[in-house]
Amino acid sequence: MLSARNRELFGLLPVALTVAAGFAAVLIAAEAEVNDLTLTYGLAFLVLCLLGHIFIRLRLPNADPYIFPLTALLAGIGIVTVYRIDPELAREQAQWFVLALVVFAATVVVVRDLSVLERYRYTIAAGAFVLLLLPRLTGGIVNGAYLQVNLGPLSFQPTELAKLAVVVFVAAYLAETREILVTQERRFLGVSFPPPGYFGPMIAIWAVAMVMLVFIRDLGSAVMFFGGFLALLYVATGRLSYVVLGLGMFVLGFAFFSETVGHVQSRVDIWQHPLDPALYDMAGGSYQIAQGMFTMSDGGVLGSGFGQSLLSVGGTQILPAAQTDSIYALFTGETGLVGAIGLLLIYLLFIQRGMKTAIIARDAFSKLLAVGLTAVFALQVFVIVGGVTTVIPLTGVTLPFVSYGGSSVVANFILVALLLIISNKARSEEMTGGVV
Amino acid sequence: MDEPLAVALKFAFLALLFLFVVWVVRSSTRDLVGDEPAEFDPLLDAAEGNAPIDLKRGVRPRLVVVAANQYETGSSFELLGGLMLGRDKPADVIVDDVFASARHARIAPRGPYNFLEDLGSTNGTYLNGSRVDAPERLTPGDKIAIGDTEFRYEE
Repeated sequence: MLSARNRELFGLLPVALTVAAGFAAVLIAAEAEVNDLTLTYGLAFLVLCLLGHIFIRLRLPNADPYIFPLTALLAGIGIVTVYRIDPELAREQAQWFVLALVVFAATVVVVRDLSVLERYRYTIAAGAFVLLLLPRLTGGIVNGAYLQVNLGPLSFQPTELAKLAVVVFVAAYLAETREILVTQERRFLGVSFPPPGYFGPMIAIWAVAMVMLVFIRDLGSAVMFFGGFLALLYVATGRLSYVVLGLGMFVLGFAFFSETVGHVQSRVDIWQHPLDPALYDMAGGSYQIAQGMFTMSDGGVLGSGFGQSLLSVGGTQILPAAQTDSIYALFTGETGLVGAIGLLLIYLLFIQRGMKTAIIARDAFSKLLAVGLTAVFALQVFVIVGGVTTVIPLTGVTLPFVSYGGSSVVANFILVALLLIISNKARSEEMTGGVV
Repeated sequence: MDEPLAVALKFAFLALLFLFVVWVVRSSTRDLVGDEPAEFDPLLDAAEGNAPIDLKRGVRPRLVVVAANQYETGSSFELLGGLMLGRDKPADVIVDDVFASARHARIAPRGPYNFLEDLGSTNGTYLNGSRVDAPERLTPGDKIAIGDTEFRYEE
């Protein structure tokens, strides 16, 4: 049987071929010649993957062998799809990948021991809060939500980083208090409640989610954060009643604010009636969702082929936010239901590997951190794919690794780095068979 | 869609995508099955009269407080993949006892069993009255003592 690292290297082979096939198809469709410059894209991608692999081989020899190839494939699909929309954007995205790999390596080197994160949990929590409020202060509004911070020529979306910080904090907090939450629970009318003294932090997390809803107007991230928190709470305490309680609080808050905050209300209307002509024509209406639905249905079962989806008519782009929010719709249009299922399977496998990492992790903090990171990742995919396919109201979060966007790519590579660190530690301990 | 090569490449892309998915699924399931720790022999254990327990199947291993300064008697700690006992912070179970070391002892699963291990404490950890030198397997009802503090292992 192949060793873990050789399996990872082997797994990168189909990834490289898949990405190469995609690139070639896009180039042929664009009737561009397969010249030196375009070939360098494929080669550069391969070299980046190999560099990442070699780094993991050196620093994390026992880490999970599937997470990195899965990540590479998602990134490859992303860059092919972005390239198909606009080669210039793909060039920028490629630069972001280089930066993300550097940050990935830096994370592995700096966070050699996860207890560093555990120790600085309050600093990290404070950082998350500042990050979340920054856009409101310096603010760029993107699609009606305060998501962006502009620093001179650079702009980034802090929710992506804040997502990781919140998970680290909650995991560290629950690793410390989970016994107390369980052993000192109060029972009232047959339902378990957490001990009163420990309500505070939970209310705080709930408040953060509500603040995001009202001040930052970002329902997608609020769902992501709070969902990740509830997943952690459930895994840490095993109490379903806490989850139901938290869910109830979130729904109540949402119901209240959707009545009072216009932004939320219109999102719900659009979601319920995307094809209503009045909403379709309204500024900030359902145009984007409806166009996404048309693109997807146009793809059918096997897709219209790379570069074949109708993206612009007479020079006007007809699929808004094709490279970010609607990238799932475009990919589905071009590779069909089959391609979309393939993409979702890749995400499911990634999530499965994350949960597997959590299962084999020995100490409480690593276990909870792996669960939390995997949960926010899964929720992010659900929020954007669910939004585009009108399962839930559409809110702008990125499709991890696939959407164009630097902050998202960098943040998600940090997420992968943390998962691999946990996995490396747990699998090393398993191999020595010892209680270390 | 008039370019045959483009169509072929699209199908190649989709085929490779699913090939990769199948490879990951097959290879990782083998990993799940193949990684059983070798040092436990269930047959040998059964021969010794200890029926192997499966921690994954409905068993709730926990540590019940028998006597402790810090915790109420009868309260319990779930053994979610392992616990550290010690006098101070990084420990999961705080043992407020003059005989306890900062990092005193640890309970962790190995294969289907939970093991108790002394982490080089000054005054030792006692399992059913005898001092723990090497990691020892826990069975329900076992008494774990650190100084005057006592716990019971239950499943």
